[in-house]
Amino acid sequence: MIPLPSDDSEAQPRQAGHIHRRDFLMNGIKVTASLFVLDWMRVPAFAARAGKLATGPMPPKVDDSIGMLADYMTRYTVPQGNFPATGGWKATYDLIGWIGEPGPHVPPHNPPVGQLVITRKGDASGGKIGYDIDYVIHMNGWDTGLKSTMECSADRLPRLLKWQTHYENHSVNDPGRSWALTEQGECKEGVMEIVSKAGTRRFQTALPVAPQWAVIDALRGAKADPADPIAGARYDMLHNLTSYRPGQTIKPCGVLDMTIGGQPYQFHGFIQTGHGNEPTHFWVDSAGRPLLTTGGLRASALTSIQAA
Amino acid sequence: MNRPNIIFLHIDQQNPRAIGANGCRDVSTPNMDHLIGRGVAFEHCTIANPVCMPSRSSWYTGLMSEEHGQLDNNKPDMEPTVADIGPLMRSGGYDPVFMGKWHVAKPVEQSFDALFKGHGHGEIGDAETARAAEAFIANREGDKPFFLNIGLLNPHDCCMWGYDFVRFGSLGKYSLAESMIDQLPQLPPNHRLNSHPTMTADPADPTRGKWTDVDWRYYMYCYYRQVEMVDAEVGRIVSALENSRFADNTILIFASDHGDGLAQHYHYGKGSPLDPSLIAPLVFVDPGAKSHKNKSHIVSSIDVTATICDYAGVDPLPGRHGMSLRPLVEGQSPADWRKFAPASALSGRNRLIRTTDYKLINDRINNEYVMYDLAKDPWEMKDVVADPSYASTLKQLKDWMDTTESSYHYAPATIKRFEKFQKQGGQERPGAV
Repeated sequence: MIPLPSDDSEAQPRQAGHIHRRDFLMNGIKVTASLFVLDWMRVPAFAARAGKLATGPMPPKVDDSIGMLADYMTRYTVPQGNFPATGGWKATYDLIGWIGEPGPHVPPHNPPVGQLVITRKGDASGGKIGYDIDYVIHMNGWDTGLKSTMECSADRLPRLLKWQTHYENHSVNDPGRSWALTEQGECKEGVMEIVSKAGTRRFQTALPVAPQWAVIDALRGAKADPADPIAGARYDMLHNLTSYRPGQTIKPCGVLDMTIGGQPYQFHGFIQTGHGNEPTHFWVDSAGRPLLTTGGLRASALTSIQAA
Repeated sequence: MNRPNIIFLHIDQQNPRAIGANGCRDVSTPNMDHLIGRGVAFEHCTIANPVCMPSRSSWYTGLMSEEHGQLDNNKPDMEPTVADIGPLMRSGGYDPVFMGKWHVAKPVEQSFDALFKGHGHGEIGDAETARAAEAFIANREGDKPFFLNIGLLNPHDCCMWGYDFVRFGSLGKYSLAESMIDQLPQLPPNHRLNSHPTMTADPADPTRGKWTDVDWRYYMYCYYRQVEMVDAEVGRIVSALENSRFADNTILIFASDHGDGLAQHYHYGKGSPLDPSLIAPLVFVDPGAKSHKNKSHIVSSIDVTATICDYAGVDPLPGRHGMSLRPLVEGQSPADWRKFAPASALSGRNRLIRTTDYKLINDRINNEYVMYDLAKDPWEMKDVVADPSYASTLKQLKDWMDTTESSYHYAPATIKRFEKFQKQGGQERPGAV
């Protein structure tokens, strides 16, 4: 049997801006009746399905089911400021490991593995918006990352029109080891084409194409309400501007009330599902800031916002 | 064809049933489908020991796990002096290059020019590993042949889920399953069968008996998504090769180190001697060979090394049991092809014999045997070991099992493990002590 991890939070020093895990779990978290799952569990259809399908223990309690998020929030410092209503902005996210692996918690779970900077270049002009992406992940002695410039449509969910991405990997211990690749892409009339020195890749696209980073912009100010225009959006994702994952859908999935560092926070949840993508959650706070994106084994957490 | 370049592209934990071209309707794998359609796909590729380290050690050394000593993933047990194919290919005039997951108990740099090591989670590192491969193919200069090894990790990410369950009491982070139940795949027909617990799954599996049906189906859903993730990266690499000047002079080998339980026999993950873990995809794309599915020959993961040597014109490592698959790839049907493939599982506790039609499993501690008629029972739902109508087949399989073992040169770590089994009540094995 894999040993249950011990709760060693007592041994962890309290840090400014962080709250103690046990205090948080006992006193800080409130899952309100507005949580989508609870609402949904009330409908008779659920009871019928659950009775028919669940032969083992019933599904976990709702407060257990957000355990990983609650655990992470004990170590998360909510950033100051907000996305400006007009003009450009620069949002910086920590990229973090998202796993409940048992064992010692030093270094803590959810270690930062890199950083993502999204820069929205001003307001829409001529029906288009520009973005810059700077993305770095540290792995196994390598710094691997990309810098990209994208031109998108000025829709609520920005569609990719043209982009250029430069990938670079550098060995930390052996500076002589590195490699690079530049890709240029365009979406036009239902065809996406990505060109690099390695050749041309073409994809027939039935839906608008968007990278995962455009979704973050689209969710600014979103409410977990089926009436929100972003609810039910369907698109094909170009993950990291290079891996094609078709047939994505975004749906609202509930509202969470939490108290972090004595401050009440409300999170509007959205879930993205589709091919090549483990269900991914976006958590938007009541100020309309997409704070957290949590996927299968990777998450991102907003650390700063600046006007740009 | 001049001496061909060889690309060994491996993914991790791919159940062959979870591929569109093999009939799965719950997953979209256009790139694996493309490879299967272009190449020679072996339907009976038996993994020597269906866990990452033992299996990868067998790929690269050409030895069974009892011989190289790496019986499980727990600690590095392989003998450091065991030769592998990297230096052999280098001495044969190839540039041996590695990127991505290695997971063999010796530094990859001892055997290959390691260009990029990837990450322990496919979701984080596979795209970067694929790009590294793409960049290598695009930027490669000169005419010296290369032996490029690319280790992608997914759908192995599903292994992390048990940890989430243990720590947080929930599956998939937010118990999403109930909110997307209409999208979840159906459970396989053998999901509830677990009649031989020491032979079907890791008894330490933390999820055993705790997941609901919905949990299992959600796990399957996400496993299929992880397959699709890695499929996209496979496609990028294959596209780079097909667009390159190497397209007509490169042998592409596509494989997985083992399969995945995929909810069969209450099992997720790997390590079981049952087919979901034991059988993995193996495809050879040889530009000079006609594509087909090979359903009639039993092959082993240790054959990969022998086949690479054959294509490269390099003398194989001595004392290996693997056979070159090249004649089969080229459409021949050698009369003396092997009748069975041996394997071991569960840290060496199980040994087994797999043919195209049957499987015999023996537990070394309780000396119990289980036998399946795979031709009639592909889901391994009925143990026929006590059925008198199978007596002669059972005897033949037992004979092969014992004869095979008597040909092994056991590694010191294996001998120690067998001594441990004996203390637990197991019987002495030929040459074990």
